[in-house]
Amino acid sequence: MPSFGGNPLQQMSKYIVRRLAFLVITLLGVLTITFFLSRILPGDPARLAAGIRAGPEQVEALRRSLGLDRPLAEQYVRYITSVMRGDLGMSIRTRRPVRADLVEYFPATVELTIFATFLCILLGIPLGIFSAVRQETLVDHVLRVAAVAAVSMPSFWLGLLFQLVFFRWLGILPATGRVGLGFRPTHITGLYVLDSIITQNWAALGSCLKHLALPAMALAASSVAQISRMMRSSLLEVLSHDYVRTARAKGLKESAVILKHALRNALLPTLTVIGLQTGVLLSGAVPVEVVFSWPGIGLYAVQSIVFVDFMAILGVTLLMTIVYSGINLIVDVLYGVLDPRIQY
Amino acid sequence: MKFSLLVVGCLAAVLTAIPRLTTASTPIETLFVGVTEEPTMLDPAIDYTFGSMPVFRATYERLVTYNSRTEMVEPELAASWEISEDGLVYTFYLRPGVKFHDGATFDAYAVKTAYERVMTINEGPAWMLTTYVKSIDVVDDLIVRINLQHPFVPFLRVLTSYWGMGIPSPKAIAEHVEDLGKAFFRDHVVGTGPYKLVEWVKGQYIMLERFEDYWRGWPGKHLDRIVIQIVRDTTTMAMLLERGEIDIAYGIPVAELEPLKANPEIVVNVYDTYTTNMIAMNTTRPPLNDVRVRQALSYSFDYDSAMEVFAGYTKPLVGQIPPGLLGYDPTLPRYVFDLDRARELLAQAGYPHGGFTLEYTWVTEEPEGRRIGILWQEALRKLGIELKITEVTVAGHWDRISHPETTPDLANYRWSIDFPDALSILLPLYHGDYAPPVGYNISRWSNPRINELIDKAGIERDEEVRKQILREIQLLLLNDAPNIWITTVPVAICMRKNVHGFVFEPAYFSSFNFYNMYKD
Repeated sequence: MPSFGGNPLQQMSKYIVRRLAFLVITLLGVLTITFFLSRILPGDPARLAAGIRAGPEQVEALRRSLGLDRPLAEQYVRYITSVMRGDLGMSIRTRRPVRADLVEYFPATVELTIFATFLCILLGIPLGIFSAVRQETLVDHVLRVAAVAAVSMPSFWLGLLFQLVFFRWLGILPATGRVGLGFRPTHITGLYVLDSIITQNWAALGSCLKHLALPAMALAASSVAQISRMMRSSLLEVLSHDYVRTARAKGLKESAVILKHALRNALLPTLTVIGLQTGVLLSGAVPVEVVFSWPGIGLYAVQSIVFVDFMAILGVTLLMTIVYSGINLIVDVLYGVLDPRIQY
Repeated sequence: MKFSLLVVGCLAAVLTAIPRLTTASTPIETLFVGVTEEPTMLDPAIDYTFGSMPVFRATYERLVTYNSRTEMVEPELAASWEISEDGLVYTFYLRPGVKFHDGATFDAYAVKTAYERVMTINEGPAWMLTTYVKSIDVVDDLIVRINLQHPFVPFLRVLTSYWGMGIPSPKAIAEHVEDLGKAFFRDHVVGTGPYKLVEWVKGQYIMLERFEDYWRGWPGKHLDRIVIQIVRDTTTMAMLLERGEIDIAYGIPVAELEPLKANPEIVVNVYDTYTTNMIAMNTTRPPLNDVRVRQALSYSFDYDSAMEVFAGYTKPLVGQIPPGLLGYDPTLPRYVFDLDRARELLAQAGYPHGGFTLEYTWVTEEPEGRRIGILWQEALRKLGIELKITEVTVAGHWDRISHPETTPDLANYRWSIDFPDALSILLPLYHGDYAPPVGYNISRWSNPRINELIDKAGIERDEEVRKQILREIQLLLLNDAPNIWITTVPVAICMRKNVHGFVFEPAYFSSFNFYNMYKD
């Protein structure tokens, strides 16, 4: 990370602007690669869309209407210019504008990822601290085994297990969907929890949270385990430093030593892992989306690939790149907040 | 240590304190149907998938309908019809007093508008009209005449299809004339059917509600509301059904039914469909261009063991036409598993010890193909033939079969009928003019006699003579062996025992006769 003198806030905003400018180049690169790679996929989208029994002239007519009959270079230029205007093209499979499809499916994924990330932070960090403080006790061993189990179990299997326990046996949490029938909040952002709060629809909020519980747990389990292990080892590392010994020698309470002095430094590597895990959660939701019938972007992406739906594939890629880069940027900025030695 | 004991203790206390809730039950006037496949769109002129079928059948109606039990065409929006002597003019006398969901009146003009829209858009199911229809005349408000380009005896059955033949409101079409209603109809439904679309929350559910002005009226027991719930995972779907959160589960694989069958609250039924599973042999190159090799392969397939792939719910196919369609003939001979006979035929063809490798493809979305391939691999090895198994996506499959050079030696595939007639199978799969990409004759087999007989079956009006023609075609095909005919694909419909009135429809197996169904 480059270091400059001067006003830190000013430096940081300069840094953010530079990163955003770089994002444009990244996006162009990713779109270009995806555009040409997707054309190598086996299958003819016009034939698929026209149907199995369509005659050659029907297929050609559809190919023309989709603009797929133009030379590849021309299609590429057309696509990039239309993206700049905010038009992501038409999905061949759903026959809707890709942008409309993304607006339909992406909020569900965002909501699930946000909650899974919350779980990661709220569970992963305290569990890590706990293990570190109780190093080599039974609790530490149990948590280690639990972490290994959570990392090794595939999310869809864990999802089914949660459904079996919390839905089938106990009957306390719903197994599928985003919200109970008739509870759907008025559409504002597409994030149901937020929409319920904005419209003060508390019944909807309750239903949304209940529906989020199991998929978020299934999705987060592996990341919680990784984050708690990371937290544990970095805290142990920090606790062996001289300044911690000094703090203790000063007669500070152990809780103050850990929470005030050690934690702040130990959080840095954990933050990187959280940032990375959020990206993993965002893109790794497909099995969870299937098990919980969660209407997210993952399933849409898979179906687009199977159907060779070029525009949809590109749209999802574009969106994911933006979000992933955004998360990285936030993590980098947070570094500076946590560690004043880091300058931009 | 003390702490962990405390945690374990608390957890145990919580788990035992929560009462095991009794099974939920859905409101009696609403039917919850779990389906794995969501429609991609709801335009009857464009959509050509099974996902939209539950909605199409509940909301749109056709001129005529097919009764798979009587094997007869019955009236729906047409009260009666006449077919001219030369088989070229179909005159339909329409039912008066039928309203669309938007209040428009159903008449001859609606039929003309609907079918001309399908033909103008010319996608998906349009070929069923463009291949046969020359023009459509409005004779008067309640009489419509469809003129054909050439006689096609099963044309009335073509009109019973749920793809392309559902009639939407001409008023709605007129209101969205700028793009032929494509943007409107992909998400909206305006038909004459018993239920109307209330809400489609993408990826979650589709809600249908009773259409009060439905022409049949609502005497007796009916449902007020239908909720078609998208449940992607079948294990989850089984759990939902067991807990009573859904009333019907559609899409649970037949191999996963045992736990449900043990539940007294649930009725599990497995039905035979008109969809068949087969292996096409590429007849354009050696060694499969030799009929003896194809026959040998037909003998090398263990048909009875293959039924295990379908959990034993189905039987080997006899001929090419499934039971329930005119032309099905249980007296036809069929290939049986006989490796000695296969060896003999291979020796005659010059391959006494096999000594060649064949590529076999199966389609990801039709997973039975994988197990069928593995099963066959074993048997073929005994004949000295190596089977190389390749998985392909639907897109990849269509791509490969589009050219003879890229068509695999052996391709596992399913075929579902478009309209309930033997020609919906024989014509696209075995007529020489229908090699992909025009049709689905993947093996690219062309026998002039078969072609001639298939053409004849399209114009022969005498049912007995037609039966004889269909039998002759099937006998010739069995001898030519361009395909290995395995079985019909069974589907399971599981429902809670308080659901009544369901009648299975083998042609459009993912649909339901919601109007006649009720709960108690």
